[in-house]
Amino acid sequence: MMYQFNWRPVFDSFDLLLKGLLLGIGIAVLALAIGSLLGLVAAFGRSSGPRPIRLLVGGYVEGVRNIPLLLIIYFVYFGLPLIGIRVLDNLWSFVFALAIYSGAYLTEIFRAGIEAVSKGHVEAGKAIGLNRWQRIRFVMIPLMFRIVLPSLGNTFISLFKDTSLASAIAVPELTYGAIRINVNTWRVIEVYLVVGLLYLATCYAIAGGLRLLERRFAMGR
Amino acid sequence: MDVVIASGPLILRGLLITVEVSVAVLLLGTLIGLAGGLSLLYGAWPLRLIARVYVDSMRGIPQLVLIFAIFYGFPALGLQVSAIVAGILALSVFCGAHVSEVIRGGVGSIPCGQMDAAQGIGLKFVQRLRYVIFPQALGRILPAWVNTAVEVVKASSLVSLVSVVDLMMSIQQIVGRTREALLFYAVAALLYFGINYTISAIGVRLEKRYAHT
Amino acid sequence: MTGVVVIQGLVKRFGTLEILCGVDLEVPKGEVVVIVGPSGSGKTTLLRCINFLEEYQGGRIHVDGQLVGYREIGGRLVKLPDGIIAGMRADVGMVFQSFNLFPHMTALENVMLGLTQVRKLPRHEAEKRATSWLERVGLKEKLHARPAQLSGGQQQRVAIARAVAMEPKVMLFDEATSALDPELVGEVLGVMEDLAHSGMTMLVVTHEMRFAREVGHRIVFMDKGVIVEQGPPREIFEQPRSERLKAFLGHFNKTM
Repeated sequence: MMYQFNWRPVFDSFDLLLKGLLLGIGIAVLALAIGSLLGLVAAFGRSSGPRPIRLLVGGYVEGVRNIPLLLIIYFVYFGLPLIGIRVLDNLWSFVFALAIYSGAYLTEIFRAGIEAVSKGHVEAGKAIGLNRWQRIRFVMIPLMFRIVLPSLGNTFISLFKDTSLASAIAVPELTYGAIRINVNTWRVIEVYLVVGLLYLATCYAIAGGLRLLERRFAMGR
Repeated sequence: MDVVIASGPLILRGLLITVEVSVAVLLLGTLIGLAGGLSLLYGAWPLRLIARVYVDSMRGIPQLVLIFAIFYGFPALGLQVSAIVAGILALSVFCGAHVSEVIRGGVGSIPCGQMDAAQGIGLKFVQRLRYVIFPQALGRILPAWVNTAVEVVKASSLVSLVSVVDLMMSIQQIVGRTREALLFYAVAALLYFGINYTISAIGVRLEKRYAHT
Repeated sequence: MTGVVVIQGLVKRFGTLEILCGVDLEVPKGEVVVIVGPSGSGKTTLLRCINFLEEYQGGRIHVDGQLVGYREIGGRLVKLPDGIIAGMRADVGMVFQSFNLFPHMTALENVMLGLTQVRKLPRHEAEKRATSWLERVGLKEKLHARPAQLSGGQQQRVAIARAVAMEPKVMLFDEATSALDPELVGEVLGVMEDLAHSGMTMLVVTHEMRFAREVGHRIVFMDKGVIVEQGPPREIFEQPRSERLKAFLGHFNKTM
């Protein structure tokens, strides 16, 4: 059987896909921001906190990294209201689920970054009389940020891809747009080709942008 | 407690499907990855190019989109596939790209001199891989492969979105019926964690056995 | 106690290994003390204890009359909180073998960081002071260069400016020229000599025997965690008494 291509319906709804794409990027940015905050605090907790904190962070990281993202999404979106917490709509449920999920990976990235900051630079900070907080703020975090930038970029790309799961709870991002166009027009091959290419192009555009950013922040040791 | 026991069979059936899907994806994906990785390493340039495009595009396309594309797309092309087969195919394609990179990285880390030496004693290509390269590369490949396995188990939950009743779907159905969200999501989390923790633990053991550096 | 730095019976252990086994040293204001000795003799560790980059297990170190790193309660040493230790370190300048400039900051920012954050100077004043120190070490043209754009010698001069700008009571130099290419050693030693002539109290660990002889007021020879011999450069280099010092100097004469 020959498949008859008909691109018209897909391009007629292109704005739906484009809006979905932008929403997906927005969600990924938000999740990365919240997840980074979470990961940063957890990473310092894990590398220099007291034992109970270290165990707690360890449990969070290992727990989250070994369960599917979809489960976290369902828990936040369906589970929380069932136990009496009804504050988040589907969009924010997804953002928080993704932030919690990415936070676990970011914790490990930041922890590796903290460990990679050279002891000499921290000692130089001590030697000019910076206290612990100032050393973290002026030495550790800026240096760590430069070390983890590539990993941070990869995480961002993963998060962007993971936004496709938001379609499971009807957040109107790109994959959800594909489902809707498919249902309305049944131009399935065209839709998924276009959507696949959109994801692919966006991921590579992000990767390219990040490479520029890395060069901008390179210290050229 | 009663609800858990009553839901036991459904959960168990779901768990079985999750394991089945994961194992199938890992087997198929590893085969694809082996072919992909060797193409990247030793293929003639057209083959290498195809493998490169395949691996790099899989990096930029969400697994869920692959699943939908195959689940809805194959029938449109006249190929009838069940939901579970569509899921397995899609995730295998994804897994294969990962494994390709894992193989390329692992084998690529072995010094060229090894291949030359193996050639020097007259081993054929497949023999060189089998007896010289792979045994050495295994220490590098295994940890990354185990990570991929964990990712595959997690990704297998996506087949629930094309209505395969895997662990995730069975839990959703039970939560919908019983409204016991906290309990059953915790059960699901524990089961997924259990599977992946076991995989990682086995991985660590194998790694120790094959680590020669 | 009259010295800027007063060390009494200092003991430092790493686990069971004793690195410093009872070191006594008093450095009055304005003196330049050069510490020499074979590697592993504990000279670097001694410097690091003075600004508490290393904790010590026995004895006392006082800088400007203040016990370093600890509070003494009933004869026992109790470690001070981080904030107070930081304040003490601000009064002790240190220059490292590997420079340790902050790679994400320009030369000027490197020098200004301590001035604005620790000394709490207003920005323009900090900038003025930092600029004048960078000029004094001969880097007027390099204020806005990043460490990666500077040669090793230039980096080390920035590091010296960064330490001196804090107006410390004493400067510690830990093999400040050991990581430099031979042709760059001179410019750094020149800055150190200039600083010594300006009356700065200095403890210098170095292998540059010419510097030790010409700039040092006193040479301290350490070996295996103790001070074996000390005295004016002429005495130490020309009439060494202990066998260990003779062997050490003999080794140097052979290789240099």
